[in-house]
Amino acid sequence: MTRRVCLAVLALLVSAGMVFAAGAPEDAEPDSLTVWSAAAEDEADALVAAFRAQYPEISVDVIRAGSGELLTRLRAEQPNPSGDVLLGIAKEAFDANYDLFTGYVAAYHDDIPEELRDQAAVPRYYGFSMPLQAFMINTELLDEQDYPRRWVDLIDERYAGELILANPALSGSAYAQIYMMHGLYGFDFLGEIARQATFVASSTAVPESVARGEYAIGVTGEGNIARYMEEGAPVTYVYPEDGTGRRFDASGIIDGGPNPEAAELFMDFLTSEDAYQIIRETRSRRVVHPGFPGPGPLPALEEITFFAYDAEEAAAMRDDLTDRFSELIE
Amino acid sequence: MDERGLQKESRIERLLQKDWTPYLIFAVPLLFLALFLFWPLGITVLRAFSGPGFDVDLSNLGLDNFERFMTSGLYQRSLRNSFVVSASAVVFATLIGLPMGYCVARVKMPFKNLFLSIGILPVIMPSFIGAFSWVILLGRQGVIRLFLNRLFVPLGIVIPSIYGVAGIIFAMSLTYFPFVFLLSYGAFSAANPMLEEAAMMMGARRPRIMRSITLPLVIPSIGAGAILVFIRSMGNYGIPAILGGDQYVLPTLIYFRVSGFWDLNSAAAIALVSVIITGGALLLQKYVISRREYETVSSSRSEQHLHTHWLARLVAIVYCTLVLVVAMLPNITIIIMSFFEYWRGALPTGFTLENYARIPQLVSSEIFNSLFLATTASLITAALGCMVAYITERRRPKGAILLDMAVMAPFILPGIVVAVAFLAAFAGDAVIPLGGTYLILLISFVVRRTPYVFRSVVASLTQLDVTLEESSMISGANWLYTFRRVTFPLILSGIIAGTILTFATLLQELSTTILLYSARTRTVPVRIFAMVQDGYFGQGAALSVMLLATVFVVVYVMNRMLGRSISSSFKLG
Repeated sequence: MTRRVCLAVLALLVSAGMVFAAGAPEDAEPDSLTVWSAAAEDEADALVAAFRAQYPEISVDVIRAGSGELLTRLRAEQPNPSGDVLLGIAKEAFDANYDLFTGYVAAYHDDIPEELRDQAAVPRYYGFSMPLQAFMINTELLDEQDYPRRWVDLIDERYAGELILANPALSGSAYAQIYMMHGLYGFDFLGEIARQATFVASSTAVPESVARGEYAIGVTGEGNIARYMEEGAPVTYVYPEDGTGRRFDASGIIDGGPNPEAAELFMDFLTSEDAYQIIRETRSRRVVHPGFPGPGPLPALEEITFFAYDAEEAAAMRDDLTDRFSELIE
Repeated sequence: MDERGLQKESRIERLLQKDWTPYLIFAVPLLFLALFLFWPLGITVLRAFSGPGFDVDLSNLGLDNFERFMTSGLYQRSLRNSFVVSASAVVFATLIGLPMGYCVARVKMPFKNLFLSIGILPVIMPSFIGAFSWVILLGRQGVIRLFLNRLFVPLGIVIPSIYGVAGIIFAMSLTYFPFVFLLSYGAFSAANPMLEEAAMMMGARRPRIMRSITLPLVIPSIGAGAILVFIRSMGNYGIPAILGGDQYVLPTLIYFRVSGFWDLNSAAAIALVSVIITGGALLLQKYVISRREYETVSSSRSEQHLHTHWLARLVAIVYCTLVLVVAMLPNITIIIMSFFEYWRGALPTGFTLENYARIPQLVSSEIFNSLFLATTASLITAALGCMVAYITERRRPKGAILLDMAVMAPFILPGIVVAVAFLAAFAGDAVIPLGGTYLILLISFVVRRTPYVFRSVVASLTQLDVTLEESSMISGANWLYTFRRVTFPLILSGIIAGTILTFATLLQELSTTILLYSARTRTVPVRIFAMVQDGYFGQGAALSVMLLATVFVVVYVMNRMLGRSISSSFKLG
């Protein structure tokens, strides 16, 4: 008896499954939009809510994944990708996958500084935020006079075993860190930092480990530092006195997406002051729009020393530098 | 009618007389595999030989993607780490899981169902939170490590932090030992007790019986469990990423290629190397098992003889409890974490119920999706795995080993590589457009998880004396009747064990889902991933606890409901 009931239930479930499964793929209604987001969940949700307040007739789906997964998916779904807009991935990633995006002059084009968007006349991406790389320090493990102040301080033997970084092969931000150190102090310096520091295979592990006190010093995006500071973790920031790179991440319209018109409306919105206000406030990000102060507890741009970051050179050297650096890690 | 006509007629007659049912039934899974396995898999292999990048280029095949294994110290070290970690995990998982399987199967003890149901939970360490919970326990600021050091440092013993290869092996052994535990439990309770009784009557002592009768009888199942441990350890990315420091493994390298360089072809090449290593392990396992014959489940059965001595019972209960408590530490950590805002430093801070209160509004459709997909896929997997196992073990067609390897391949390949193979085959401008549907997730789940049922059933069939089926056929039963009434009941426990593993691991599947889901088909693990990424560990933990609870309840109910019918199905007539 029990067995028969079981079988009936199973049969029902399976047939229900088939009915669901046979449903058509997402149909391309004119009033919908699919945003692929590498930005945080609450951030994307807040942006979508504000966008829908302006365009209530457009329903918006958000697909969240890491930027590596989103770009892989985008490549695999060619020539009919199912997303319309890619939100918040590194500028370098846009450059390396330039053919997958389409150009559009957004409504607030003139408000965005030229160096913080695609420099083509019809840009394929606009800046989203500036994830400046900085030192994250655990204040319970280090006294203020012991903080590293410059990149070169990181190899001080006082910090042996106390230093955590993300492996440069993981992301554009992690690569930017070693590119900057290489530019400032040369390849031999990288050898010393490789010996001194732990280069982990998970970007999230860096801020989390420093906040927990597993390591005293991490190098990470400033937004992470701000978030942990706001949550009350015993951490603080140090911007290297020898400069950090002025990098940014961006958003752009996916070429061949199902809802190009809605995508353009969303790009207009993303470049508006309202959107940047949301980006700045939800996750304490430094936005590319001039006129906004530093987010949360972080200093304003004027107080930070910058390093002449050559994005083109960085991109050109990436494969080689990452490979050579990888051999130094043991 | 002339002679040729007669001949033809008799040939048709013979064809009609032949029992075609098995072939018709076998055709379904084979067609499924051809469409959804061989095709995407073929593209992936081509990718590996196509040079770095994303394009599959038939005109320019070569070994470029494999070059790094010859030239790069990083690649060689990672390869060695992968191998050392997986092999060690197999050894330790067997050392932990085998005695436990024996205890639960052969010692009279209470709460057997509870042990069996909890025993599966370590396998479903929710991605990343699970690995982080080892850091919370045994990291430099880990609560257990600090506590133990307070006790032991005065004695001159310092417990090291968990980072490094040893830590990876430790975490993986405790995560994957349930494969050996559950499968060897099945075998210990299915093995024919009369053989042991016979040995005992002939005066053999217990250790000798153990060595020469009991253990050899369950070797196929230990082998099946061990190979699952090996494969899962080879493929695990989360534990090495969090606990490894800068000790990398092959999945780390794959992740680097995909995440940092969008270089899927090189990733496929690295994946292929791990497939080859695993293939070697699989062949070794097959060789060890096929060296002897296993005639164990036969027509006359008697009750399993249980140890009832109080000492044996005490040891068994203490041992099983101890193992489960240690292995469940990450899960316990997650449960505690789910009631707090943060867990930084030794103890968690900010008690709250908010993490649970927010679940309904955050993820109601995701919960439905997860349950629906995991259930449906598990059932399809049960049918498919069972039939393919039957075909390779009983029919032994030419190329059975290839079929075996092909079924195992998507299980060995990293989820992201399988997902891309599916997208390339069934999205974009594919002939069969499945992008964004439930079906693409369902099929990818089935293809990636079939090996649980497959391996488990293959082991059951190896243990099953073929004469039982032959005598049914000789007595005039057709194939279908024989399969239904003889084979199926005897391998049912194997099917159920495999299906439960499938269901439990599918509930937390992330690596394939993350590339294939659409807004409509989003699952719970996708949300957990987002929460962890965004730093909301408490919320992610609360959702993980829900998954753990679901698995526990389902497995517990299954064990209770089917427990009696499983054991009774062995008593023929």
